[in-house]
Amino acid sequence: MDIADVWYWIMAFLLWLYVFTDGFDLGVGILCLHTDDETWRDRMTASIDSVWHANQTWLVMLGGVLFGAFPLVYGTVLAALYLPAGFLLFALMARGIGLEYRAEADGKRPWTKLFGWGSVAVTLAHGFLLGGILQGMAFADGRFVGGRFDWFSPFTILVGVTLLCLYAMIGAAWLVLKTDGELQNQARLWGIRYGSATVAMLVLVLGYIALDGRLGFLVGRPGQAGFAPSFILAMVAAVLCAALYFRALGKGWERRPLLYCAVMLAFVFAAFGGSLSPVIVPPGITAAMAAAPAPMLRIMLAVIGGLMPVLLFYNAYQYRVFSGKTAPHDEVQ
Amino acid sequence: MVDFLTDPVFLSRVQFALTTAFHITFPTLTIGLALFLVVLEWLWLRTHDLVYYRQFRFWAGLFAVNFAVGVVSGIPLEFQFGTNWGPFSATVGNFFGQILGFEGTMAFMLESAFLYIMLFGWKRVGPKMHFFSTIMVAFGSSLSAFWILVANSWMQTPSGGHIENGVFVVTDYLAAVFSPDLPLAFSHMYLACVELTLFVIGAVSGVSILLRRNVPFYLTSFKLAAAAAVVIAPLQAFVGDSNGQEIGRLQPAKVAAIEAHWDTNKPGAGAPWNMLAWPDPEAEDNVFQIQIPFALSLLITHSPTGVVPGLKDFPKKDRPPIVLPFYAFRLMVGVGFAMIAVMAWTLWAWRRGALTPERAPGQGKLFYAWALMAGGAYLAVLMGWITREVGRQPWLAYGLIRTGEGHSPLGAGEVWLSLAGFITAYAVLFSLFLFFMAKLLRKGPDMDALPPAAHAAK
Repeated sequence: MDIADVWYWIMAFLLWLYVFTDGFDLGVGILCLHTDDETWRDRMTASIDSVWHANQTWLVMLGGVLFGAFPLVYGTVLAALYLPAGFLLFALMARGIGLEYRAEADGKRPWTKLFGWGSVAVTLAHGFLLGGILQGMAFADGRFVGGRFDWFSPFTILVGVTLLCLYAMIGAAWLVLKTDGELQNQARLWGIRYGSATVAMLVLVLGYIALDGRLGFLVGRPGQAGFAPSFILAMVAAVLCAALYFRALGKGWERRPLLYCAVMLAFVFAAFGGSLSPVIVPPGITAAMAAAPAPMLRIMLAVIGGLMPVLLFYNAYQYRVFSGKTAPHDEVQ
Repeated sequence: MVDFLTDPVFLSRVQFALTTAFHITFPTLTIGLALFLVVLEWLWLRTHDLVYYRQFRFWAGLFAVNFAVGVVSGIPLEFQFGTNWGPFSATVGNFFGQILGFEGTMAFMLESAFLYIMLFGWKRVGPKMHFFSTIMVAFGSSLSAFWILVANSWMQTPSGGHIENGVFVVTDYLAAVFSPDLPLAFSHMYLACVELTLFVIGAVSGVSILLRRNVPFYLTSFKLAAAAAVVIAPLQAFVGDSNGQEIGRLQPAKVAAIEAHWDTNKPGAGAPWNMLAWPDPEAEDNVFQIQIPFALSLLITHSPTGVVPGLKDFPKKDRPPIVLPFYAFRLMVGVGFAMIAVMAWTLWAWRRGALTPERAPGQGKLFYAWALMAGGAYLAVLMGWITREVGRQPWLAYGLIRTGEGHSPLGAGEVWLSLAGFITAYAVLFSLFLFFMAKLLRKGPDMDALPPAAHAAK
């Protein structure tokens, strides 16, 4: 494997980590809009207080790693997706402000709303960015030659809605783990509802790809109809995880729903990542073309690769310190 | 006038300047406060005097609010390199981006992960682990400053490689990381973080004392801050002076602009220093100037007749703007010396016994001077960065990539849209920040706070 490919999969891993961890923070935000009970919302937001900073930091790291390992992607794709990228930044601010100041404010309601709608906006921005890249970008001679609004298409909207359902699904699994009593029961219901919606949306997305012949590169069949066998295999595994998720919710298990979310997501990433590899920006820019010079990638691998276990260790430690059911915010200290 | 309002490069510069200027004020304080918190917790662990525990909890609250705004406002900075300065990013990303990646991986993550244990983990972890978390937050934020300065210093004095086929090729990695500008620039900024923090702590404490709120409590923090500032304020002047000489060597055009210095002094003759001037770039002269003979040579070379290259030595297209660096620099230096003066005054008052719980609330002038200097410290940080970055023009990476060459193919409309968004968002953010800071300061320290049992036992 080429060093550029190693970084391709490190990027995929970081993206998975970010989508999974910030996914449940954002999911909790989306679910906050589903209840008017401010004591529930207290417990819901308190459950992510300790971790959302670190979770969001995976995005900062992802940005830095993309910048260093694939400068060409960083310098061209973000400029071509100027509007949704800007939209993501403002949405992240809104979500952060809502969450931070909710804890400080006396009147919680407007801050909860800002946190909730901010989370929805972040998720949609993720959809436009991710969808905008996945559907293929028009580059010629290293310059973007597509339209300013290419990122706004039926496909990107589908991706955005899928992510809304997915994040709410993961968020529900997180709440099952971190809460108890009636709120936990409600979280299970949310989990079943949004889990079903996620599966349905995934089917829709795949159907769209199958019908739109130009997107074959996403499923391992560039320029053709149908799906590559390896893609099908990974997706079947993902659906199996979804089934296990529903079973775990039904059995009243607390840890497993979240675990199955993570594994399901990993299979989805493997399916698309495997189909696209070695392409990093479809249809035609490969990891090797966009990568930094190999010596630089090796230095970066030594440093960041060496630090990753440490990072994962202290993040895990942090989760452990605040493990168990969440107390309302005031009692945490 | 209208020209640059439709110039996407200018608008992107304004956007970067605005977002960075807004952002930098928060980490400047939190880097210093994190160090202060380490000291407070150390004092608490050593003495088990409750006042230090309560000090910690109070200043940690201030830290949290500032940290939150720092994070929220900081994320757009990293991504602007990609969105607005794409060609620059594509060219130098393999080094420059990697450094920002290190910052996120090593520093920012450390801070984010241990922050919550420091703030809310008192009941969850023991004294040693808690102290370790506080140290990690401080270490993370300092390390963060280091990597950011590595990246920025490299833009000032790009070294360790060259551009080949549109890509920066690193030939000497360590030379690129430790670029010539780094040691003094980092020291200067790091001291600025500490100095600003000390003056903010002193100002908050001083004004609270004047309002007769928790006088003994605030007197403790005031004295801690003042004692440290006695050392830091003069040290900063010394480092700043060394920095000035170093920049004279590394970026002569910048120094010429900072000093509105047009003509290189002839051998044997000293270059005069323009205390005040108004430059006319067309005529290549100053409309008026108040000069001190030999002073510029002395400042930059420490010799009365040292040669200081003038602006005319550089082609017009390589000259930075003059007015902004000239006045920003003078404001920064002015504040720096005013801080030293306030320190001397404080020492004198302290020695005369003015800082006792009985007499301190009567020291109105002294404490208001501290409050003024806290504001001045923010001003000085911003002015310093304006001097540094405007003085870097017309280059993105000095002598390597021009600002215009590094800009993304964006239209003015798009940049206006995001710029307007940032102005609105930051205005909202700043008013919220002020509101919650005021609330926190009005509430003051919790004088009944007791540590959890595991921390209270000796």
